[in-house]
Amino acid sequence: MSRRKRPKFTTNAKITVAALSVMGFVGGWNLIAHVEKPSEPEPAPLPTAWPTVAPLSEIPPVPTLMPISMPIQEEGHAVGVEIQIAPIPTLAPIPTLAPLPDMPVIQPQDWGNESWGS
Amino acid sequence: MTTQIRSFNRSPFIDVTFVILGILLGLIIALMGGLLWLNYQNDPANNILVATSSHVVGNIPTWWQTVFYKEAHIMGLPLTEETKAYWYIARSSGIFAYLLLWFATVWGITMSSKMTSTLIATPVTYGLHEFFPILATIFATLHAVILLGDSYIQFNIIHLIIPFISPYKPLWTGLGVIALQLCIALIVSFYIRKRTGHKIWRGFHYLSYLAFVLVLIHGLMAGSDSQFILIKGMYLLTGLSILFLTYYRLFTLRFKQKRIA
Ligand code: HEM
Repeated sequence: MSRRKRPKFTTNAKITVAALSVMGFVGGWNLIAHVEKPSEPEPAPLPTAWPTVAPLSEIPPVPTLMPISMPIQEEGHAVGVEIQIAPIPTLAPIPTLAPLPDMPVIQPQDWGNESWGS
Repeated sequence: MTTQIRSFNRSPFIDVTFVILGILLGLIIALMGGLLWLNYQNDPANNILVATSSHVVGNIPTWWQTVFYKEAHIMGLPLTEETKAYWYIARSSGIFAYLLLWFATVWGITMSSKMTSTLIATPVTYGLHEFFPILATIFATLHAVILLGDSYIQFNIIHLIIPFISPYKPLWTGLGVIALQLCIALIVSFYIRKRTGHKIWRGFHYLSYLAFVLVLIHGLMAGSDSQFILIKGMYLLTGLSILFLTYYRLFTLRFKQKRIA
């Protein structure tokens, strides 16, 4: 007469649980490594757009000599011309170059090992 | 209906044969290991191990190779001097050992409260309760031993044995050291319970609650991952579940005692 087999926590079940545990542990290792992974270095910021040259339309007129119409008095003689300088308007800010981005400090690898000039 | 239980007497001859076979197998494995080691020492760049592994890697599809190499690199492999792999392994195995110990403790309480007796066969329940603490202790031992490889933390074998002297968070690490020793003692006590007597074993077995609490405080205070809300939540939920089950167990115990009286 056959007896009903009582379920047991068999060796196969133990091996399965142990294998799943190892997989979980490796998964955890991978997850932790991903969390700790230093984030990719951010790309260097592009130089900010800078109006190195102001648009022509915005440049105020440059002070110039003002011609004065005068009758010529004597032929063959230099004529004393009265020159007037146009009033100088408030000068617009001088266009400048954009500031340079931060430069990495680079040290030569063999600093001090070279024999300079020898 | 009677069930016949046949006693099966193994002859001593079979026992001796198996012992000899076991020793022979052990010797063969040791010999092969030794030969592989000598072969490696002879030429670390070109030996059986390198040839076999490159052959195995060569047969993996290229796409998989790329993924494997990338993941292995992130996980800190191969183990160079500055690798963080030891630290990652210590953390992963620590958390895993903690979860297994939590499960073993939960299972122990549900088992003694007879909560699962109608759902799961008793041998399975006992088998699980015997197996999980062992698995937890194996992972906890890996967690402790792997710290020896971490060049940053600078542990030595004495730090793993004597509590409160470690160079890293000595108080909180010390609790882990005591917990590991307690786990080992609890497992050993189970196998010698016939010699110690059931009463002594039972009394000692209550220390498993202490082991769990020690590990919880140790993990929370010494662990790098306690900063994450998910891990904090894990400690909170697991801790509360044990508290709840312990109350339940005490409640059912009192109820039973009252009924007996
Ligand atoms: C000799 C015994 C032990 C030593 C020396 C030890 C040492 C340590 C150290 C140094 C840490 C901090 C690692 C880090 O996260 O940076 C740690 C964390 C931890 N340990 Fe232990 N431990 C021991 C036993 C145990 C045991 C028995 C368990 C559990 C069963 C355990 C579970 C944990 C957990 C869960 C963490 C937190 C891991 C994390 O936050 O990522 N430890 N242990």
